Amino acid sequence: MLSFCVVDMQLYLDTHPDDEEAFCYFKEVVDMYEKAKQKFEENFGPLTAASAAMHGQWTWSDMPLPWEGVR
Amino acid sequence: MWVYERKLQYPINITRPNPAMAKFIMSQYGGPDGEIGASMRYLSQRYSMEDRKVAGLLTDIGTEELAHMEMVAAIIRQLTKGCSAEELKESGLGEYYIDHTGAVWPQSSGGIPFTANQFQSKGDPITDLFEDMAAEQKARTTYDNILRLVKDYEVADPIKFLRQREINHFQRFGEALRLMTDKLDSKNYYMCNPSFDKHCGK
Repeated sequence: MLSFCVVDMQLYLDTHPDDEEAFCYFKEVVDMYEKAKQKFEENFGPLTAASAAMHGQWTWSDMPLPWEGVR
Repeated sequence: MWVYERKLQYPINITRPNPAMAKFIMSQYGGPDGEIGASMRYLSQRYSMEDRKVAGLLTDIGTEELAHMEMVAAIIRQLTKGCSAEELKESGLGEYYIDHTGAVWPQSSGGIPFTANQFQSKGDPITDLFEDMAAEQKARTTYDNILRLVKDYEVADPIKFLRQREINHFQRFGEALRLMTDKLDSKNYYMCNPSFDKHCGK
């Protein structure tokens, strides 16, 4: 959800680079996203391969693929 | 370059298979107005786009379309996973199953394979941006068509998200077009091609 906010604001800022309010909001959302990502990765495993470095062993291959769903 | 994040941009958790629905949604994977075409179009156009802001936008939207391509593939896979050959045949995916079993392969609902002919990378910023705006509307209409036939909430929900993104992208490309035309001769935007002619544009 937060990474989507980042992407959405990123696209907006691409065409409105001088919008200070938007950039301010972007910074807030990026901060929330990075904190949430860190917390998720500590507890559940890496979301990007480089984050596997925070664990004691190579955890990237065991993470579910995003299309696996619930069945 | 690209970094991959191992998650979907929007959650997809389909509890009941429905290969007939998968057949309709397939066009948004490999069809003429689908996500793969959208991504390749924008990622191809960006190289000759001299305006950095617009090239950046093409890169960013082209990247988001890869995430959408992944979502559509996830929907297709979740709708067909576990189906028998008989079930696939009854749903209208018999011929597809023969060549692809339970795999995901880029083609339209009607069976036309994905091809670069589905998009242009014309090397003229005005032309390319109009192509991009049209592409987003075509994608939006395709999602509208899908939503008339797909009523299952689990499937319709991510589809509605994808549809909304198309409208959002259309808005961004419109703004990029304005950025471009502001830099050109207001008496004649077509005087020269800023991506090809020297000394073109401010």
